[in-house]
Amino acid sequence: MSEKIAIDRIRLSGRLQALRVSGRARGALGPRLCRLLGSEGINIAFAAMGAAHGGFACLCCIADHDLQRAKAIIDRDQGLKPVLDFLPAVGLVGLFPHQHRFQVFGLALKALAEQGIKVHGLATSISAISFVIDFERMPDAADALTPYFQKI
Amino acid sequence: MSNDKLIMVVDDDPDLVESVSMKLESKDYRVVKAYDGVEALGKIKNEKPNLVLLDVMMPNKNGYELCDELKNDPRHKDILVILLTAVASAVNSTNFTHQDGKNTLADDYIPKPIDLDNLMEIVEDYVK
Repeated sequence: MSEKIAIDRIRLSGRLQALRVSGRARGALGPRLCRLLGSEGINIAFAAMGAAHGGFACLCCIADHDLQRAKAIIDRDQGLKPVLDFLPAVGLVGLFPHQHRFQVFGLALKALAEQGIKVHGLATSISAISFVIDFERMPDAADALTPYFQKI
Repeated sequence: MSNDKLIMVVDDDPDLVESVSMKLESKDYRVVKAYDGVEALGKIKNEKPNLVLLDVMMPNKNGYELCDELKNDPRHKDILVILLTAVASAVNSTNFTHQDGKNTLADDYIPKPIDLDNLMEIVEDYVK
């Protein structure tokens, strides 16, 4: 195996809930969902928006304990309710710093794919790469990434 | 021209650490990074920074706890500590005995969200 890439951390979140909204209305649904959650003081641990299936999609992750409250407010929004799915419990796998190296991103995806770990969403920031995966696969994700990365 | 001052940035938000570090390095400070209090303490013992920018809300030893340890340790009490806190209103004062986490031995605090230019002014005032 090739030399491991040095990073500072592989960070695993606690259990989260994922809300996914998708549709053909360009750019409208994601911000609407975020505004709705924000208006209720529901923290969004992760948010990603992008093109999907010929339209647009937005994935938001919230804390487990906020799920029922989120469901209640979305039930009242007839515009969002038909186009929103609640995924099974998810978790965030983060690696940082990515050092602006595509290799970090590529190897992380490769490692997760090798174990059949589905990635529901991903995002990069100035320092970190984050993947949204099924919460039950979090231990597998840590095991999958370890052979490719080592602590600085 | 390279600066001989070493600044430590401690926060569990890697993006904040990166953005603050980049700003400091642009002003030729040397920077060491840590993402929790335990890691920070270990690096402080080895690296001996001149100043620590220290987040308060962190897992594995929060900023108040770490600040207390440093200021009560004769080996480290002279290290400048500036708290980075999203609850600035909860910090009544600095340089007093720790009570309920609202009075600390920190030298100063900077409220979040951080204004990087303001942060640089404060850092430069303390380390010059």
